[in-house]
Amino acid sequence: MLVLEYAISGLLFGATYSLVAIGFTLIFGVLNRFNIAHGATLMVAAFGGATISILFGGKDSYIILIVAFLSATIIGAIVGLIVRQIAFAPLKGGSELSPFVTSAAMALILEELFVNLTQSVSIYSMEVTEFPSPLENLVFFLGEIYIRGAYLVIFFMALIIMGILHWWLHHTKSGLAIRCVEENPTAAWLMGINGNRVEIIVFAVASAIAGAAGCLISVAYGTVTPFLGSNLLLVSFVVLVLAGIGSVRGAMICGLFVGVIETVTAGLISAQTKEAVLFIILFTVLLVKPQGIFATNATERD
Amino acid sequence: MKSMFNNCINLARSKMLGLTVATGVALLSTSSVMAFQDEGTIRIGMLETITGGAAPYGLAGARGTLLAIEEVNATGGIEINGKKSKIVVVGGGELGSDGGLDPALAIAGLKKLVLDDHVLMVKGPTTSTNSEAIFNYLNELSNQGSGLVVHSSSAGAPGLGEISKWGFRNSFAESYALSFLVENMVKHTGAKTAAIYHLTDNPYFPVMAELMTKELAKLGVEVKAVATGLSKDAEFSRQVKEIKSVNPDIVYLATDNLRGIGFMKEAFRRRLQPSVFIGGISQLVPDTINSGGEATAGMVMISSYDDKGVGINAYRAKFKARWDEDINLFSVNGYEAGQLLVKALQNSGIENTKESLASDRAKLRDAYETVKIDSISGYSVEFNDVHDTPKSGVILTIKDNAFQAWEAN
Amino acid sequence: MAYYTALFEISGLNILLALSVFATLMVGQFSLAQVGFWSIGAFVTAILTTMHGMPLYSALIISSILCGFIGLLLGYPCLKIKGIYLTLATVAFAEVVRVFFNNLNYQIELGERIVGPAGALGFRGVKVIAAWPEIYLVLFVIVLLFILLASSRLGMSINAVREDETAAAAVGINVTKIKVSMFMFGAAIAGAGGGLYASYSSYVLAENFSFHMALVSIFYVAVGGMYTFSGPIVGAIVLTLLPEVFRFAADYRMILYGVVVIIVVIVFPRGIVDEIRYRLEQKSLRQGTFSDKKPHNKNKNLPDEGIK
Repeated sequence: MLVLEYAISGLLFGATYSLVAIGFTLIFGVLNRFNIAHGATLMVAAFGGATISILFGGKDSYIILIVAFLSATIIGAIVGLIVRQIAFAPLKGGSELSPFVTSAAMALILEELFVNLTQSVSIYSMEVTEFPSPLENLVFFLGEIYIRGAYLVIFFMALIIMGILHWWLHHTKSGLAIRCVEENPTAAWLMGINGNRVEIIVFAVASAIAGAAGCLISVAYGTVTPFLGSNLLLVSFVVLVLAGIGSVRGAMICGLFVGVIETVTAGLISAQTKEAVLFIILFTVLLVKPQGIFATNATERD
Repeated sequence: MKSMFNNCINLARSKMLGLTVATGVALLSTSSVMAFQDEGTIRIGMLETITGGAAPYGLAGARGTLLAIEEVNATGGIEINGKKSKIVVVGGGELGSDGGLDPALAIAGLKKLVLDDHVLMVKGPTTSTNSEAIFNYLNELSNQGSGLVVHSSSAGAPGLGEISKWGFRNSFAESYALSFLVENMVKHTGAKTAAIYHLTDNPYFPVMAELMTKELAKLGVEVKAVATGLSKDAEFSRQVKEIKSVNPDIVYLATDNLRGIGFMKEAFRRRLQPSVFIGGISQLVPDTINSGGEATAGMVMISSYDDKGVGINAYRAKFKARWDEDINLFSVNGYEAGQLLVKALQNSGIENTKESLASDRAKLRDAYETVKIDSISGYSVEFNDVHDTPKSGVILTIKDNAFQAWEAN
Repeated sequence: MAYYTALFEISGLNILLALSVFATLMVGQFSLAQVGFWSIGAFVTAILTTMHGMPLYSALIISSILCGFIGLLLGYPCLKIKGIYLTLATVAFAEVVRVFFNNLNYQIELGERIVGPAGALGFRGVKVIAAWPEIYLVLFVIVLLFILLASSRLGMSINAVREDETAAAAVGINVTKIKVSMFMFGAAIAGAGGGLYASYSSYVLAENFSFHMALVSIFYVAVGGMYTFSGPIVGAIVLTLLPEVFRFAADYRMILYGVVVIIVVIVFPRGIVDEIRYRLEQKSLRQGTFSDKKPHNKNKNLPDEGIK
């Protein structure tokens, strides 16, 4: 019974990991670079949503919640583009190390910025910046099993977002362009696809999704902290490896899977063990099937 | 060995030379402008934790002390040898240097204040962890002839005062007041069982959990479940479930601010409803009420002062005017620390010159041993023989969105 | 004075960390596992010196060897993993190490005190027996090793492997052996560095040896220089001193730090030392005896890494 409850929570909450991983994998698939600032983007967007909720009394209003959610998504996109402009655009080509470092530095800057903001701005509190929402205390009891309303909402929102993304990637021209660049950037360029524009679109979309995820996660926790992003980033690494980089569908399923493992382990044993378990899984998968379980025909890219 | 040693230095030098010269110049120009003990200012240092997880406590304490200092400066300062000298916080910003959370860095910060900035005493640190490291280090400093008073207003772990004769605390040490709190709660609820949730990565909380277990045992109450967690947890289902499953009459929380709130919210959602939730001083911050909302209503904890007291209200107005924030236990203790410091300075008979630094530091320490003030909390406060300031405490509860005096009715 | 000494000592420790990361970078492997080895070195040394009375250098040697050995166990399987996946695997290793030490409870009674790692509380009260002489002595030895390496045949093989593994294998270089050896070397350096850190700061907390610290270790190399061993040294020194130079900015210190890192990496894509070296080379190539040939690689955007 206990395990079932944990499994359900994990499944629902795992949808957020799916969202974060999807954003991450989109950027990696197109740019072949890791965006370490992805987590920070998510955090900034979450703060944006929280601010809206705090300022306009989101505690009891679903409408404000929706507004906050949309704002978070847009803020996510904007921050993502800024990150791209500062950390990736000036570094065309060159070693793999540089964009890793610049995006990590961006993440650091954003984190510190918000640590400062939470100290100086009065609506934020240093430790507990709230994200008030009517979903806070919504719970359902299925017999003995306890399910949080917030998690249900997360799950369905995530499904909707992934559905939209899937439709866009496979049924629109821009989506097609993105898939082309992902598969073979040189050929895509030769075919007249503007790689730069594709990059911008991907960054915007991926970061918008991150923003949405950030908002959902903060609503579930009830609070936002400047370190929200970095905690999530590591878990999304695990999802990414399991799924195989480049596979959106894989990211979705593996996100749920990781969510379940995480909650069940944390619930039955301890929070620390769950971290160890996840990383051991990551390591094993890398040894056994490095392309990931859902690998697309990934040509080796460097 | 020596030539290898020299080679090592030369090698390092040749690599570092250019860079070091450049940065060395930059560093020298940004370090303390006041080269030595001026006559006309009394130099003290502050080493509270003003960034990171313990920042709410450190900032509140630093601000409270600074307020007291500013008040005495407004009257001209402390009279020394017939001349008035103002107290100045040196090293760092307005609130002094950042003690941080890492004891090694705190010791480095202390070294700088003591040896480079030549301060008379240091206010801080904020956390018990830092205080333990620093009080231990004080003994070494003392052997080198550089002993000075280090005065914390928030480190609460038991036994800190016994480490060094230079360390002083006016924190509200919960351990002194715990039996008072527990007796009242057990009597009021007729409790027979209890459960505890505490963090394991900060020495203070496991100690409090142990103390609580002992106090409860004295009254025949059995602790049936102990759930643990870390300072970075964001999820509390496991702990709430564990505790709920033993259906306790009393639930005691030995956690920091954020974890306490998170736990209470989860408990609210899962309908964990003991006769009473008992918290600690870490819960005595506005966040607990603002964020906790209905989840934390009715929670009980012990504080050092009665919120309705006259002195407290006057202080509240002053603090709000200066810092635009409400007061809490930490800012009250910080102000009290400032009061103690000022009085001790007045009684110390220091010379306050460059040459008398060592003897001034010793004189201040002696003054600290015997100083006594009327705190804004309404009590008379002085240090006992282990350099603590025992206070019996006031039981508070969260009612109508505020911390109010608890009444048994 | 105490202040500048502390800076000097911390710089030394950071240089060691940077060099350990550099060792694996030399064979083209981007590994973030060094933080894990640093952690192992710290705990092992601390336990040996504080709880079993071993002298510092013996403890450091044991720590390095142990880390080197674990590096061997880790390195072999990781050979098959390429590129960014390797980095992720190393991150996983470091995280597992962190969780392990956060749960390690091994305490004994010494006199009237209890010492030893206490789970999430870490290991407090480590014997402080390292200061700048010890740190810089170990550093000197390691730099010496790097110098020997750079000018040896092994060094050339290492460069070959980094440039192009297939070609290197084709000329008979045992790529596997070299990659694993450098991995072990990096691990051993980190093991020694961690041990010195523990014996310097008296307090070891596994939580500190995190992904965040791994990122900072990469900063040292990226900022200083990725192709010669003087790069990480310069990078570590600059980035250790930088927050101190920015002290006046108080709260905004780390933001400025991040900004500087970004600017440096953009302006000096190969790292300060190696970028300067590269530009000087370009200049001399253009002016020198090769005037009738095109310069080796004028286009900065194409990867070009033929270095000594």
